[in-house]
Amino acid sequence: MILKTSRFGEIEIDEDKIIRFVHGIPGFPDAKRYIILDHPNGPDVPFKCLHAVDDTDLAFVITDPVLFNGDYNPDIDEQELKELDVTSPDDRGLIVIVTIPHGEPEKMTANLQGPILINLGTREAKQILLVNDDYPIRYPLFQNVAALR
Amino acid sequence: MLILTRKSGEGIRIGEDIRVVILEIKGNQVRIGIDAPKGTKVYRDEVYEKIKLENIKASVITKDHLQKLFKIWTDKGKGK
Repeated sequence: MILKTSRFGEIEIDEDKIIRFVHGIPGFPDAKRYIILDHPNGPDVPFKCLHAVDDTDLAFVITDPVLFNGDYNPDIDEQELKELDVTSPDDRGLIVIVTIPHGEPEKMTANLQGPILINLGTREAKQILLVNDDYPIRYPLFQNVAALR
Repeated sequence: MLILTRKSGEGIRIGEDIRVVILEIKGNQVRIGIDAPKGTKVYRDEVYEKIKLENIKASVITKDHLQKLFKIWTDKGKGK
């Protein structure tokens, strides 16, 4: 099918790759279907785009949290795993949303407190709200970015 | 909003299967016990609101952001 986006124009997507958020994402309850788009510079770039299928404007930057925090291993409630029918670790996909402050992309942070759990088999997903405070909502991705300048 | 006054040890029922009990009142803190069916999500108000606001903030991305992000990533030597 053709995905219409305000940022990237029209993109051909594989319907089988659509990810379903049964409850939407907090703040965006109406958008239930999303697709992951590679970064315009290619699939090797670790930042991808989680784009709503039914909203041309709604998109998030996502990344693999383990790339930036090797110890990231949140304790996800049994009930949440059951809800998405995640039974084996192979089914369990975890991504996080990146927040890019306006005009200061180098200060981008990742939301480690609200990871997105995806059942890689059924492609159902949900943003998990971790109850303990072990992981911050704004984890700086590039801690030493100032040193680069 | 419905407002009820409860004492320590007293409770409230919401529908058939949700029960909220005031366990302890100490100064300006109240300990609350909640019995709800599995699958009912109970969050501290501020956690949900915080995540929601962060999502809204994160949804404001531009193509330019993505390019800058790529540049930062490559400048960092692939994040090392």
